[in-house]
Amino acid sequence: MRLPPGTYFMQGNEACVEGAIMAGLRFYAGYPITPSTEVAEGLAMRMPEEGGVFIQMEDEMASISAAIGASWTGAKVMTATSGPGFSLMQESIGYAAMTETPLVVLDAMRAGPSTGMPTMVGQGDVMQSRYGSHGDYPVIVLAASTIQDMFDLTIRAFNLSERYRVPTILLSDAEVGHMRGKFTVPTKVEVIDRAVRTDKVWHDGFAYDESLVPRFPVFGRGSRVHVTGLSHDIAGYPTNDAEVHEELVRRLNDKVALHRKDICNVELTRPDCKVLVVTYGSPTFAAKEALRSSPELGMLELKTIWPFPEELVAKACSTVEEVIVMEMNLGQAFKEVERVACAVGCKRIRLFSKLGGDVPSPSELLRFIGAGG
Amino acid sequence: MEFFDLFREDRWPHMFCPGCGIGTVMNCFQRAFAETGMDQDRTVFVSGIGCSSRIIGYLRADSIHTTHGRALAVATGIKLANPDLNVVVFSGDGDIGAIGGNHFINAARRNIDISVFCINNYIYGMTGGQASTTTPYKSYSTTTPYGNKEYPFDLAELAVTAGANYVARWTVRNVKELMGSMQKAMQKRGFSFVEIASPCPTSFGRRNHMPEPKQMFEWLKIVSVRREKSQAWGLDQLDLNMGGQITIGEFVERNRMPFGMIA
Amino acid sequence: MSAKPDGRPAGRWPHIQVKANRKFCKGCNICVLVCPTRVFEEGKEIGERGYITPVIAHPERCPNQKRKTKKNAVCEMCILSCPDQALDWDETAGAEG
Repeated sequence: MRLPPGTYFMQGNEACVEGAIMAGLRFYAGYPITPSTEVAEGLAMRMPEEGGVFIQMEDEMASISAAIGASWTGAKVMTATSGPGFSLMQESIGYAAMTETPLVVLDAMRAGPSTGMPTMVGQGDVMQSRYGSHGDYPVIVLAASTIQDMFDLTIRAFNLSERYRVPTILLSDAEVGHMRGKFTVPTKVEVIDRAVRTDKVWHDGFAYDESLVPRFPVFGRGSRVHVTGLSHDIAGYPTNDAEVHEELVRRLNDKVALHRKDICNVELTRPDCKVLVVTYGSPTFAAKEALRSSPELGMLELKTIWPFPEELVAKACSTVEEVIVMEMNLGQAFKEVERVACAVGCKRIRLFSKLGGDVPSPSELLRFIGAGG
Repeated sequence: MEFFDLFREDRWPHMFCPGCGIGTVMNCFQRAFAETGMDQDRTVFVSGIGCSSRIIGYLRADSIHTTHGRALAVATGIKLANPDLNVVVFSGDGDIGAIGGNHFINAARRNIDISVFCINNYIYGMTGGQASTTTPYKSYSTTTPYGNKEYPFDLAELAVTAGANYVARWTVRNVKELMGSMQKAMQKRGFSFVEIASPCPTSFGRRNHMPEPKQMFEWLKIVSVRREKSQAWGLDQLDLNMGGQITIGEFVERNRMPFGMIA
Repeated sequence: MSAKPDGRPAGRWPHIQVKANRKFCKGCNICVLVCPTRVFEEGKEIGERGYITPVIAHPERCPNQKRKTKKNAVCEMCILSCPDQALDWDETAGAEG
């Protein structure tokens, strides 16, 4: 049963589970990895209750492959992992992008690289979430910073993935996933389903209109559609034709670019500030606390990381004196913010990069801002 | 049912080499499928990467051509999400025995109700002839120019040990038995695995003294030994494999409960 | 009466006969190998696709001499084995070339 409207106290990962069920998740295939395991364990309990399917597969590649297969039967699918597993899934993320398979992947980031510190926070997968797979492929990446985000953004991830037929990644981290807190379920939750094709798709299974999104031919309804990761024409047949390949790859990427306004989202607090702190994930708590004691600070929370919300970030950066990007990596979102802020003439952009696995404290942030770099 | 009721005539002539066994497998499959009476619109075909995996692009049915080695994982997802669909996997020795090995043994362990047809041509044909995990000991390939120093898998035996409900191996010379096994595999509940020893004259045959399709087709007949005979002669399966013999026949037929089915 | 395009001798045959589709044949000669009664022979001429395709030299040797429809065929080794789907039954028993 989906959560009725009200206020709840749950762990971040548990809120993600409830968000997925609210969005209509029907199939979960996963592999345990800290700090995302609670999602798998929660769904192992909840999926049979909702009439869905849960399976623990033998590795991450099997998990995402099974999810992709299930998606083609019309089901909403998800898998959850962390950095090392996310790296293993990259090939299939590219496959989902190429075949336009709706899919949600939760990446609960942890300190890396490699095995790193499984139970500690890191934010080192930002670039990987965009460019982890090979080739030019579209992907939507959202970032959760609170328990409420874990609920809301999971639903939003499903909605975006279904509407645009693009694999959508929700980045959380070890802290946001494991902490417990309040979140609210509203009376009305918007849930979007993929537009389904009901006729035979003999020679045009991947035909599209001005939205650039083909309607989805569900398996088992006589569509007789051929799906392949090879470069294909609108019939789905593999081809090496140069024009067809160019049209396909450009359309796949334009699909996301065309709908940026719908996809990109940020939360701006105190837009008339002098110093803007751009951040996402668990470091946002330090920023929120710092804003309380320092009136000249403002905060820009990136809710969508990819496609990078250029217009929204540029607008916020154009009126401030200084931009501080706070993240727990060596500067991944920073590169994008710097590019955008410089273009609108912002004079000072600094990176507050904290590694080590412990979330930055408000005083650390204030000290960094005060230190002037 | 005619051949081109099941296959896409607009894509003929197909891409396979002269004398490739995959064409023969298609003929046998069409007859077997017709015999099962399964609904073409309720059947989904899954494959990985390789020459054998291209078959499904020629079928008039819902089909998904996935990444290398992951066909069985995708098939598991499809079958679990919609158990009413018939799921058939076409794959090759590399896709099943090398990169897909883990998914292969786990799918057999789960005994998921799908049929897997593994077309074993003892080589990586699509990419030009590199050694596979089933390439016979001492054979030549582009990555074993001095002769293969590794010992091959016996994929059928792997399937038996992992827990499949039905396992058989035939060559493309045994067309009648192959049709029967393919039909049985699709009709049987649980994990069915049929390994089909097939010639690849272009990549394997050419480098191993059998460049003509006829030579490799003939070789398959000569080296295949019926399981019952080899057991009667007291020959060890694995030794046969290494010595270049191929044991054919039905390996196991049992009724372990398929995954996901309520008793 | 001239020979049929796939090399079969001319004439009327009161039973099913195998026929070849030269557009599909790639000249692998498997039919020559598997036929139990040596109906096929390796060809000598290059066909339209550039392959030397085998010919149906002796259809009278085919074991299906008394079969009127393909449902009753007793041997289909060539059709089942052909990797290119180039062989099929000609059920127009007695049709002219």
